[in-house]
Amino acid sequence: MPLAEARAVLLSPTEDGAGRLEVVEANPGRDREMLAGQCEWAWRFTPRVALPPLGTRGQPSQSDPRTRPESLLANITGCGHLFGDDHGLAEAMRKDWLERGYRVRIAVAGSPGAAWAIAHAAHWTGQPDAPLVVAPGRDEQWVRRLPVEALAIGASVARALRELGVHRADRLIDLPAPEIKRRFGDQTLWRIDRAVGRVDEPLDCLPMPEPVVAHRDFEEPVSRGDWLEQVLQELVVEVSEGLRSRGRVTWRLVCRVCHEVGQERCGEPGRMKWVTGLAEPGWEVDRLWGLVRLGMQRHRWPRQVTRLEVAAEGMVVPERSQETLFDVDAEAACQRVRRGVGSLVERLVSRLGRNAVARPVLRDAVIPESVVQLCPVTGPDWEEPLHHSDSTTNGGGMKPSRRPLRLINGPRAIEAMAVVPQGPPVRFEWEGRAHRVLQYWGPERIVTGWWTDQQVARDYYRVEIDTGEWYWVFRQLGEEDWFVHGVFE
Amino acid sequence: MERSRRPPELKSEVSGAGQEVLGGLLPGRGGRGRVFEWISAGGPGVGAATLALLAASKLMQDPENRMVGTLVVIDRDGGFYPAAVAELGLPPQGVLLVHPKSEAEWMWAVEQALRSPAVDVTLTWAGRIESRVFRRWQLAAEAGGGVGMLVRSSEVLEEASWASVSLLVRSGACEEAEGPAGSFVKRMGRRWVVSVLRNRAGGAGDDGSEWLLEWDDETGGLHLLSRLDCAAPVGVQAAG
Repeated sequence: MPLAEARAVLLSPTEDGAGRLEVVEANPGRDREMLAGQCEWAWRFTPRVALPPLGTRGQPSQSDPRTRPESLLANITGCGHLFGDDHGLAEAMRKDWLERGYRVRIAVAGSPGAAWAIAHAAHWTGQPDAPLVVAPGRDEQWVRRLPVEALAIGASVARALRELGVHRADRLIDLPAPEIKRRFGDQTLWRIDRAVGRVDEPLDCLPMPEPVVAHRDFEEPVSRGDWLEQVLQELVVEVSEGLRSRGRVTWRLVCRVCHEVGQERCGEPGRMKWVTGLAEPGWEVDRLWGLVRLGMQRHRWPRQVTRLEVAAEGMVVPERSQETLFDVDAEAACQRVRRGVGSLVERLVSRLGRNAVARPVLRDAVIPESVVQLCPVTGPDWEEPLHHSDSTTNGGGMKPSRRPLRLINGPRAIEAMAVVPQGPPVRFEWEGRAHRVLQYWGPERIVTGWWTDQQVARDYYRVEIDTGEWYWVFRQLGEEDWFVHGVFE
Repeated sequence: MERSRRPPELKSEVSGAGQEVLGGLLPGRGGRGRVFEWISAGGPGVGAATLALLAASKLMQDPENRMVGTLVVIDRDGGFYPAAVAELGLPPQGVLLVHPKSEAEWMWAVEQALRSPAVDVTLTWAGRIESRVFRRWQLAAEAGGGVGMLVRSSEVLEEASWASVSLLVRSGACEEAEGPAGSFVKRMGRRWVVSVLRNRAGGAGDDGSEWLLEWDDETGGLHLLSRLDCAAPVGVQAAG
């Protein structure tokens, strides 16, 4: 609807302002800049990301919807396995953008044209938000079922086709090529071929930015820790300035130290490095230097240092969000807490190391040892949940605990006695003492993995012994051996 | 098979939502900015850490009964099993697990977590602690506004403590202790006797007061029961 028409329709706004018209002038250049920023987030998934092609005079073409600055084209060849498969990658992309406040439509197909067509007709599937992944070789089969507009043929051609009763792409694709060329021109024929992947369409991918690096080469080897620390601080300041001037933030700083210790032996300079990960990307010099210093405490300066280097890796465009003037809403409070947890995580990881801090994620597994997966807490994968929506308590809020608080790494064999075959234990020896079982709960039978090398066949019991302590024990089915696997601390 | 003797009659004083019982043990508004000691009278399997986590889940509930906030578990042994946390009502995604490698790292990590205003509860297992370190933790908890939960063994009973509240946790299973071998009388669930050794924070429990709690295995409700006649006195000689 033209603007003048919209103004006429909404000439008399209602008192509550429901009919008021807000006009925002389109700015394709700004839109393209914003999309370029999104490319940097997409580099987490694939290094080959392109903006939509430009029309004539560097502006979006009215007749080619593909030139509108509203899509990112990514070549994910060879990247899917990093996320399980192409479905996993598409879902990770969708979640990533959703968490940053964007609703996106994602389609994976054999050519950019087919992917664009399917993504733009996603509403047709009934599940517009779910990523669509087309099996290899089935692009044309999918595209044929879409409305003609999905072929990016331009509004006037689409209108003409509809007047002729051609609504679906298959009707248009099945028309003789000379007929299409005569009635709608070469361009329409080419765009049909582009949409079904018959023409090669190379992507003009954006180059990934060079990392921000600062370094010092010493004329003479330096061994004094305080001097080296001073230089390191200067390098962090330089990197921070570099990030700021480029308008970027970083997920991690990598510090590298070259030294001459051992060079006489192996002929090559010794190297040492440590990585400082951030829970939220940043460039602030105080924050970066504080974390680098904590990381230094885990290392000892080598003697005869010849070179120091600090590099910012994993750079992204900072996300801008609406600032709240007063902390009156819950979201602002959540943001504050999220930053607080992030800050703690960064300090812990810097001082204790990346492997010492983790967030547990429960997996859909049966074997007790495989139920928990520990996930890293810095870098782009880290997300601190504050409201656990699926955890509303139910009255008492608790389920009886059927899993121990402490799992023994590698179940420990025990001597146990059962009164009846296949029955619960009545006595067992633990840490040099014989214990009588007062009560038991179970058995809980876990039999799985028979198709792998890690077959598990166990009958678990929760037992209360005469000292009032609770243990998690199991009988190995078939072998009749007993093990303690956990303590209900 | 002989049935064991009938357990003593128990009068249920409170049998409502489980965590409310523990909430009553904690001083006003959950004792923010304080350190609590949960001293296990017996071996590790007595369940002091379980009670501490049940109290933590109470602290981390918002008025709409949603779990909010962050629980930091600092575990030197590396055997902490987060699957159990989920069953205690605490979603694992709100848990931050820290595995320090040395005692120095552990002490530093506990202080950092207590000092962080974004952490609601910090749980750790602590044996003997230097008074100076304990004092630092207490000040850090005051500064951060969170709650420290220290699970400790009974060997620290004679030590000076900077905890605002010290609770001794014993198993409440004494009534079956005399039963004949091989006899199983199912109680409703796990029982604890919780004694207040020291309370500098106000709240429901005076020094020396005791509760008998039962955690219903079927429903998950935590009930406050009247004291058993056979309950041992507070100064129980702890084993191990």
